[in-house]
Amino acid sequence: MSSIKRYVITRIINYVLVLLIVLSLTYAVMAPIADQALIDMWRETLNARLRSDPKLIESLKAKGISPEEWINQQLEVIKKREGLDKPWYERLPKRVFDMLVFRLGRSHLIRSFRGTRNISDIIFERIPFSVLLFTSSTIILVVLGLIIGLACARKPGSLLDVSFIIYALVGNSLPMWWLAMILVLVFVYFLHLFPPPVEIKAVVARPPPIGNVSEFIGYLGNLLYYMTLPLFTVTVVSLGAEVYLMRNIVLTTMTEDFVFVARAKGLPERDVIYKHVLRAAAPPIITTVLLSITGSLFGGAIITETVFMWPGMGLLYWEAIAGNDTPVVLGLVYLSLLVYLITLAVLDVLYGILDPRVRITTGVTG
Amino acid sequence: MSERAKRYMELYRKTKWVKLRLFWEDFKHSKLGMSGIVLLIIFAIISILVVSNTIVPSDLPKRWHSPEAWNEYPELVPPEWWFKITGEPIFPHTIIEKEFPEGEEEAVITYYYESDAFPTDARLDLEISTFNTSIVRIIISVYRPDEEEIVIYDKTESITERMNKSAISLFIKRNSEIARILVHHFGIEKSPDVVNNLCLLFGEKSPDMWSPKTAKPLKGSYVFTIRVSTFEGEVEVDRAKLILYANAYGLMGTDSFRRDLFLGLLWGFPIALLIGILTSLLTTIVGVTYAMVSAYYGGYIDEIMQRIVDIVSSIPLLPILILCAMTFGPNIWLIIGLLVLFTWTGGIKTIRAMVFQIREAAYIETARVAGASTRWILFKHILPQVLPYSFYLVVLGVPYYILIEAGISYLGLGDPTLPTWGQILHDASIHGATLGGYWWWVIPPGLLIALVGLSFAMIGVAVDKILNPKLRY
Repeated sequence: MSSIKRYVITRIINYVLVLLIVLSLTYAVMAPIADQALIDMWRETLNARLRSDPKLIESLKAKGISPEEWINQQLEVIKKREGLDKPWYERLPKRVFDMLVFRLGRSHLIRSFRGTRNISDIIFERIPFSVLLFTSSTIILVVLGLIIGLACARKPGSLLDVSFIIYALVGNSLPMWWLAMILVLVFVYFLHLFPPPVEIKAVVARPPPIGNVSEFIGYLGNLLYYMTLPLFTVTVVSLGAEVYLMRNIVLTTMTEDFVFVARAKGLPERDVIYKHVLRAAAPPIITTVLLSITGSLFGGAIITETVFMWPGMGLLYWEAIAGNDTPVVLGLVYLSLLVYLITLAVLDVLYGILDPRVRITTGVTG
Repeated sequence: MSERAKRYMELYRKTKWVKLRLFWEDFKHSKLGMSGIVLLIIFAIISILVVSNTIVPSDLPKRWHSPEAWNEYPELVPPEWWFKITGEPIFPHTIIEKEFPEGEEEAVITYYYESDAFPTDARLDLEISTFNTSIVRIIISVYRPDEEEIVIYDKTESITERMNKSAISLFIKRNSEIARILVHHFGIEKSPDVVNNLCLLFGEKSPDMWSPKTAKPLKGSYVFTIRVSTFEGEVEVDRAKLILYANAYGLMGTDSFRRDLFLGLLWGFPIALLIGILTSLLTTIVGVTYAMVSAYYGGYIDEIMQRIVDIVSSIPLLPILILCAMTFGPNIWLIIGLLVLFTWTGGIKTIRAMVFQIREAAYIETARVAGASTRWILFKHILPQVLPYSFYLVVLGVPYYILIEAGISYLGLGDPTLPTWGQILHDASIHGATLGGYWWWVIPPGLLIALVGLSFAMIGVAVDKILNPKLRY
């Protein structure tokens, strides 16, 4: 088997393994609580049926069954139908399969933009918002990071370089969502430049009007206007780190022998940097870029959305936690995991193609 | 142990110290690193003072989430120094408490008003004792410096027979009845719903005195007289307490729960340091040991151990943390445990590569030939070599873990038995502090998170500079 094939196959097996292990683990951990939540929900529906149906109560009286007894009987029936009478490990394979085909169940509280309670609907509506925000910020970051990073790497120790190192330090140490709060305080409360975050959710969080062109353009305009502040926050906090990263990648590459040779050949510094250093530095740069997108989508950066009420996955986490909506959290965890692993897999393969040296070791994350 | 091995050990000890000393010499020359160390020492001193209860009341974590503990503090006011900067007048926090001798039916509290600002609220607490009676009439009147006398409260309270002690608490600002009385008394043509009771009570008489924007405080002595009477049996005032809430408080102001934010912020120090340092130390110890063992044995053991690392490091951290905190209930030890469980793989790749290199060195070969055990080689030869880098990992990990804990707390999954910076920001967020402009509630907690993180990051850069000369700072 060729090395690249072997490499790709090992990586994919690894990620499938991770997916199955984590799914099983989360299910084992969550099963008792999720079950209890389900039973409570059914009990509530049965209670509601009892209250709204006087005929049922009378027929129960005629049979000599108390309402509580009836509810318990019905619960047993439902439990049997849904398979809750079996221990969790017997239900595990079915449950994992359900998740793999996105049958994530129904939420307790949170509704999708269209008003349904189907968890996969709710989450799939939210993902594009997060992706839009963090992908656009990453594009800006990469462009700025490369330009400034190169400038810093050419003159290490210069004023520009040192100030960006300090910027990176500060940006890395402060919580992004806190800076978001400060920006809301300044731009919304003190300067009235942007509408309050509550409005963002009201305007943006709905299915995009795809049929009507002018309406769609208006929607898009609103979306971009409301995205300004979140985008600014994410970009400003991460820019220092991005520059620092690019600078370090370039600087490390610059000490390699082939750069020394290129300089010795008498190539102008421009050519050395753009033709030799950058080309060699491309694989680590591409990986860090893709990793930073996934990292911000599933890391702490997503919390920033809650401050701006930007209706992505971060806000959904916040809403689900506040409303104690465990099924939604479970669904979110699963989807985050899935998307994260897929990205890592793609990244690994890409990296293996870009940099032949990687194939003999184990890849990006490992 | 043979004579030779002993000599070898002696020699080895010396070189180890030399290495550490050289490292320290390099480090001392880094301004960034030394300022980080100084900051860190300051934070450590604050933490020790907080934990040993010298500057913070010992029951603060317990009190932090109970509303009763804070009802004598003003609500949502900025820090005092802010008003000193902006030049706005300050109303000082005033609590006048008086005990009265037995048989007193009339209680008098005198307050000399000399501030240019109005209080944010006023509360009158009464404790009365009754004997053989269940109905008590309470009259509270205020005698103002301009010789106006207003009866602000005249009510007959029924007291359950069994209790002969009862307490009455009267919040003056939000009392609509008092508003009606005051509007009527001064003949102001405004609805009692829009007027500010405190401006009417303490303001100079004018048609505009109903609003805090136009009212001016009337200085002088105010006499609050509380009379209690009953038709049968006896009644007496035991104690009366007048609280005039300040419009600015302490060093850091207060929040919507009337909590003194300064105390909460102080308590954040030991917790942030505990989470950051402990978690970082644990993950690094686990990770470095794992990497050393994996790389030293190599072959199949290494392969299996690296597959495990792959699996652990592909698990997205935040979702799992949220899930577990929701399932098991928020708890600081749980969070630390989970962080260690899911992030110990951090520096493994680099350490493993380093050990691979060291393993091939001649002196390791020599040691092995001299009969040194694997454990001896691992801990006496390889560990000292990877120690500086491990130290770097610890230092870098601290701000990372502090940020993660703050994020979890901000989402509302913080340990409810401890006040943390993340939780203060969570409370600020759900009470609309950003849209209400309560900057003193929003800025300091995040600034402290950033400052603690920064001190470690500074040390980290200084260490990186020594370990990674290629990067040329």
